[in-house]
Amino acid sequence: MRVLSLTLATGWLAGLLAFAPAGPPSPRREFRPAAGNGRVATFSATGHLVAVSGGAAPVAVFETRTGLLLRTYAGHAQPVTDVAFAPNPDTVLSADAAGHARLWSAETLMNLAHWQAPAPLLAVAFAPGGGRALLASAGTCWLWNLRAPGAPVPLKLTLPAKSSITAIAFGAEGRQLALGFDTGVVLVVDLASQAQTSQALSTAPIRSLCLRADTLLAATGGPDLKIWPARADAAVAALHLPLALNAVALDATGRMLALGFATGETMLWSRAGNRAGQVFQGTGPARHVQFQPEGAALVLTSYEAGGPKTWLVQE
Amino acid sequence: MKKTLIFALLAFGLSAAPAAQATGHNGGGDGEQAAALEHEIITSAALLGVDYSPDGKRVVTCGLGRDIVVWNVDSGKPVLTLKGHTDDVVAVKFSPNGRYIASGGVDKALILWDALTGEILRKNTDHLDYVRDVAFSPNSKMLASAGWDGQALVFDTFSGQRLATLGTAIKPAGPTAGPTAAATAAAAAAAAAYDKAKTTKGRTSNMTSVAFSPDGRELLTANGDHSLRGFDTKTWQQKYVLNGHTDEVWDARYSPNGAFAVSGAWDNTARVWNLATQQQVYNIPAHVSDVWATAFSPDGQLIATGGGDRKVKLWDMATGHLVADLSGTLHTAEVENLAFSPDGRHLASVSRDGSLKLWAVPGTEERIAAYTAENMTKWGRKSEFEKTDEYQKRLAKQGEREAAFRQEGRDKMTAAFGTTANWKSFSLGDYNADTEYFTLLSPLFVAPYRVKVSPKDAERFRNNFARVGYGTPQFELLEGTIVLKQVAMTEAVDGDSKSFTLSR
Repeated sequence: MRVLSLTLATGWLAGLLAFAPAGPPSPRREFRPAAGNGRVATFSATGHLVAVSGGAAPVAVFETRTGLLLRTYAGHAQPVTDVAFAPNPDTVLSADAAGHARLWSAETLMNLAHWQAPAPLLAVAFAPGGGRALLASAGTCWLWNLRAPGAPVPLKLTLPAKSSITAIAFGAEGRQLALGFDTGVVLVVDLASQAQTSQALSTAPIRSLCLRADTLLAATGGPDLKIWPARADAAVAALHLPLALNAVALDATGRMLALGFATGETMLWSRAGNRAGQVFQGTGPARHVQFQPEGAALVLTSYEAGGPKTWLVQE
Repeated sequence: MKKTLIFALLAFGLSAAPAAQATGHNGGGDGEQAAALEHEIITSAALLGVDYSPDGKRVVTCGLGRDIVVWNVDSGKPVLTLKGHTDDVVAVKFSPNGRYIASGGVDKALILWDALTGEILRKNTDHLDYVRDVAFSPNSKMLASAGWDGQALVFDTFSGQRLATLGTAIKPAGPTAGPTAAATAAAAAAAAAYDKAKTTKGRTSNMTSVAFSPDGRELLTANGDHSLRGFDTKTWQQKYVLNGHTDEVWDARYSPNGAFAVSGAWDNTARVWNLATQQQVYNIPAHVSDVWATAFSPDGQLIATGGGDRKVKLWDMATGHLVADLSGTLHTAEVENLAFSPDGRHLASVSRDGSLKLWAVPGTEERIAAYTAENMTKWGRKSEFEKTDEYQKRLAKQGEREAAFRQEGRDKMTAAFGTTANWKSFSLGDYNADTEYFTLLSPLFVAPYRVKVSPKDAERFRNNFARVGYGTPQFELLEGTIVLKQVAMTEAVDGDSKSFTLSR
């Protein structure tokens, strides 16, 4: 009898433990670069790889699933400011503070193309489709056609006065380009017609942009997400949040948002349900968030220091 | 004055020596960690795979260094370097007959090597993605590989002919899988794609591990969809699915007698399965991070696990409890793979820190000591808050209690031996016509066994030895090891069955 009650009790305890809500979710993988701060991180186009850099460090290419360091690219002499993967094959475009832009193969580490910008480069992004890449310095944007020989072509843009570029984003179709400035102004350019629309979203620098279906989402370091339909006559809406927002990303369907906060949290937000989902606690201010391409099973968050982490998205 | 000091030092030294020895027996202490590490080989690149040669004299490793290295265990020196992979090598195995080495890697290649000369015998690139694991059948005639493309492929080792394709191939997104097309798709199509993506979330189609059962009749695969699948190696039909893990299963191995399997997964647990009933026997919270590797000791009594928390741990198959944390803090990165030496005395572990470490495997005495220590700790904790005199009374019983736990552990381990060890692996030796005894040899027990057979039955006994049946065995703990005491053997010939008794 006593044995029976004991087994019952332990069974009950085990059941309780199994169903008790687990503690805060732990990262799926941490990508610890051997050097530098790891504040620059991005998924490859298929989501198989994660490239990590930042500070005085080479670009480290990790396998997303296992967190294994696969390759180290040491082609930059100055700190790498941004990294982007071309859709296919696994080709990386990285830019550094000395203005060097380098295109290289993640598999072989072979240099494929190089360009020296006249100013330090701050951001790079591939247009959807992968044929063109955008390179941005504080005051100029270049469009680099990688399928044709030749140097990048500067974009003829009328930039807001006394402001410098802090964030860039392509629209999902590659037709539109959004630029964010340190004065809180955003600019949406139609690349075909060169038509420009701008709007002051804030007085603080734009930290992160996301452009989808003619709607621009912006993080400005304040406790709200700015939502602007990218028309001159449209008003700016705000999604109020409890914490200072540093980074924003959308999944492929545009239904789920990932929000990175200055206090280290990464939060999922359902746009359909208009409610918060999982919260992942990282360390230090979040700098960049990104959904894993092809399935959005993971969210990648990079922080000001300590190395980026991936988090598992639950249904 | 000086003399007494020296004498005191000597006395201290003498008394300290047995004390240090004693710490080696109390399961998981710091003293044991230092004692457990016997050899280590440090390389410059992360190591991902390891295996022992069947004679136990060589160890093969692979990893991010791309070259596969065969090491001499005694000297710690490389004896052979296999060059042929063009990218990181993920898995490497010796064939049970010692003639071949098989390896698979990120270059999607499965390579069969000559284990003595290091020549490439065959290079196969049938997998569409990484080769994540390779395995030989016990008779070395079949070679299986598991790939990240979701397939397990089985080949005839000698001819290279493909015998089976298990699972469905998932092509990795190639240049043709147009992101441009996806980008221009309408919103409705995107929504449909999202629902589809939800069901395939986490890319769970991959296959991470293959293993042949010790009798060669079954193949076990571990899968990204959290399951283990058993296949018949004659018909290649799926026999069963083992569900229970809550995340991707990363490694699965058969126990030496084929009755159990152990699996390790990213849900931080190692699970032991009874394959006859397909029920879970143990759910071991093995690591505080992903479990990357599992292994059964050759006697089937211990389970080794290695994980993302950089630890190598040993678990008792009789109780499911921890026997020892072997590595402590000695591995400085994720432990990727494990292999027991064929004699069961050593455990090899490889890690992303680039090191191959060989650990001394604890024996039955250490297992009993770990069991006793764990139960004594629990018992001690229970009485912590009782009234002082009650507590004193209980403390007085400590020795008694400890002896009882020790006996309990001994009984449990002896009782479980019959179902967990491959004790039936006898080979028939000589027949002595004078004493009328056959000598029987076992790889599991050191001392030879004998069975009395009358001279007129001797010929028949020898001819039918392969089909002999065993009764209920009796085991005993003898000088720190569990050995077979005696067992009845029955031989059925032409409807007539004869019984014999096997004993030492």
